[in-house]
Amino acid sequence: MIPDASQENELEIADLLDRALYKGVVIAGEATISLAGVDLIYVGLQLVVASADTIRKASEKEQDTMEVH
Amino acid sequence: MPLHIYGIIDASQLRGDIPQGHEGDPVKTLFVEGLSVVISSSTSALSAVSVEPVLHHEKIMKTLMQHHTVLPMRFGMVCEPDNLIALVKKRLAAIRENLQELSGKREMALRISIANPVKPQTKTMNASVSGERGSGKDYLMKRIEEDQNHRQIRKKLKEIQSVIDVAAARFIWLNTSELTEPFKASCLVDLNQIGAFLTTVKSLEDHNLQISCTGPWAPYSFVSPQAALGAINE
Repeated sequence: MIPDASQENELEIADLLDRALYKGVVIAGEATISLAGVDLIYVGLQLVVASADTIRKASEKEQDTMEVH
Repeated sequence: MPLHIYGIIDASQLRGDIPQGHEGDPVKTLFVEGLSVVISSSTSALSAVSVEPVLHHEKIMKTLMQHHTVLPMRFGMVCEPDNLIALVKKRLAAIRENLQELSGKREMALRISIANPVKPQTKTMNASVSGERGSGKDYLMKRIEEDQNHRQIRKKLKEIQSVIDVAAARFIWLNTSELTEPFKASCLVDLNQIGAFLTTVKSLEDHNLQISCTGPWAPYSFVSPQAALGAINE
């Protein structure tokens, strides 16, 4: 199936966000927005942005660790 | 006052018409040991709830790449000036090596979807998949089918990589450990070879395999951990 122009645009944005957003920092989010299937969490003065998926995984890992101890 | 970092270039000054930074703040350079860190003073865009600043970040990166080899930093990298200079000095060798590797290259993004290679074997198995209560045998059959699928998918992904590897300087998977589709990969491709790369990718497609390709992007995925400046002051 050939994607239409808006689908292509969304795909491009999603691919860019996958790459341009930092993925290795655990933070607490203040607001969540969604674009092209990617949830973004922006943190006010922490100056760090990560995809919601990254934060969810980090949070799950943290909970697992807490359960073990 | 913290600085917003866009990337590091292998030159003493910026060439070309660089767009303004976030909030109209000028994009400047901080000269460190023969390299220039591209920065702007405004960090206010990082607290806004919008995708626009990320798109703007990439726009600046694309302009920089027209004239320089760029070690791109992900959006949101912020550092105090003194710490930034110390960090670049500390990582100088790794940064130079990484800049050399990225020279004349861009990142291409791939999303790969593979049709389910193994068809369901029995009627009862379909019932158990749809939520009806199944026997232990059904459960084991389903697990065997899943294992077969995973093996086939991993085999297919290896085949895809071996073909694309020839057309790219480097190839990395971003999410194959969980085997969830679409499988995402990044390729580092010589700027002069992008046409050939796209032809290679297209040649792999068939009715069981779909590949979407976007780019060229700044090579964010190929910045080595030793050369990356990190998100927060070290």
